[in-house]
Amino acid sequence: MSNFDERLLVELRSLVTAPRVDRGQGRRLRRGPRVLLVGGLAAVLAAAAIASVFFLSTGTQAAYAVTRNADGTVTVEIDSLNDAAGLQTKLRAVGVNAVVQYLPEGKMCKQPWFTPAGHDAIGGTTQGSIGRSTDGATRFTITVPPAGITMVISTQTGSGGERALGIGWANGAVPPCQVVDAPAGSGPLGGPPVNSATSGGQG
Amino acid sequence: MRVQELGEITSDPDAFERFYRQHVETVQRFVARRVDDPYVVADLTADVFVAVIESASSYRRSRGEPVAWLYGIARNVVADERRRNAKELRTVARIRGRELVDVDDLAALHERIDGESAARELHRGLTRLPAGERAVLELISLDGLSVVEAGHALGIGAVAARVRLHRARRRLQRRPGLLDLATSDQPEVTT
Repeated sequence: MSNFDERLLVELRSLVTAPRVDRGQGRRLRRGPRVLLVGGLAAVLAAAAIASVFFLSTGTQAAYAVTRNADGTVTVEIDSLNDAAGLQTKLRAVGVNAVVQYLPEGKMCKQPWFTPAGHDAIGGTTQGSIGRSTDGATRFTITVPPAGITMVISTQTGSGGERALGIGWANGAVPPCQVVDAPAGSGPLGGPPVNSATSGGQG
Repeated sequence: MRVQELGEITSDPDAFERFYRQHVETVQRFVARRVDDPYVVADLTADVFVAVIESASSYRRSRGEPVAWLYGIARNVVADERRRNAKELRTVARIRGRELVDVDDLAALHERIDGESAARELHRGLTRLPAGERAVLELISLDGLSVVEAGHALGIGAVAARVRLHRARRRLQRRPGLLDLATSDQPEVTT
């Protein structure tokens, strides 16, 4: 199969695993995953290309919510690793140029996938916090990245078998992900292995 | 894939993957026989499989073998796209196939589209046939289905399908250029 066929298969498998209510257009978070946060419950998203990583428990439900706040920031809630295309579309609709790529276990995007944005390019303005909402969803708030910067959200299986979610920033456009086998225990976005046992408490 | 397994693809990702790997090329070729834009081919291929996931649980053996059922879905998806284009309306698809296409994919899709050029010519040539007759003729002459399978794909009986096929061929008798392709039960194009 071609790269397109493989990428489409990844998206379709996510759709199969999504609860039926989330297969339609209107999606809203209902149940939150148990989250293991890097650096604790209020880790700060790095204003750099380094991915922020947190873990989602398996078997989660629902999908996502994106809210444009009155102060111009954007709050994202991710409840499960389903419907990457929907989350990407929603983020772009509120002004965040984003690429969302969810991957099955044991897969990663071929590295280097994109050109990381340097700290100077982001200008220290893209910061946020990671935490859990009252209903348990993983939540982070960001300021809208400047023009030419793309937010990248991707998943991978963590070293302990957890589903890990990584957030990074790319300079310019992000090429399509070429799905390849991931080395055992490697982190999201091609980063080093992340040991969940030392990265924070279970949320 | 066994008929009994078809209902599982709506909830079992591994079962779905088996079905997908078995049929993705068939679906792409089906679309490429009707559409010459690689991005639209990508979109519609995604749309067909989304529709498969949504409707597999309602599949019944009486609707024919899975491949005939799949062709019926693919035909409806392509027809829906044509209606949307006619109204200049676009809806937000759940999975936008075109966003998954890279440069290499684009070349491969162009190659696939070029390989189906004869079929698209035939497809365009059939536009003046009544819709029901055209549908049967398309599935048999372009897509290689048997009369029984074409009937299942369209939700009609084999006798009705054969009658429509006969009428369609009769109408085409004054168009010999098309008749060469349209009078065979087997496809004359690469499938």
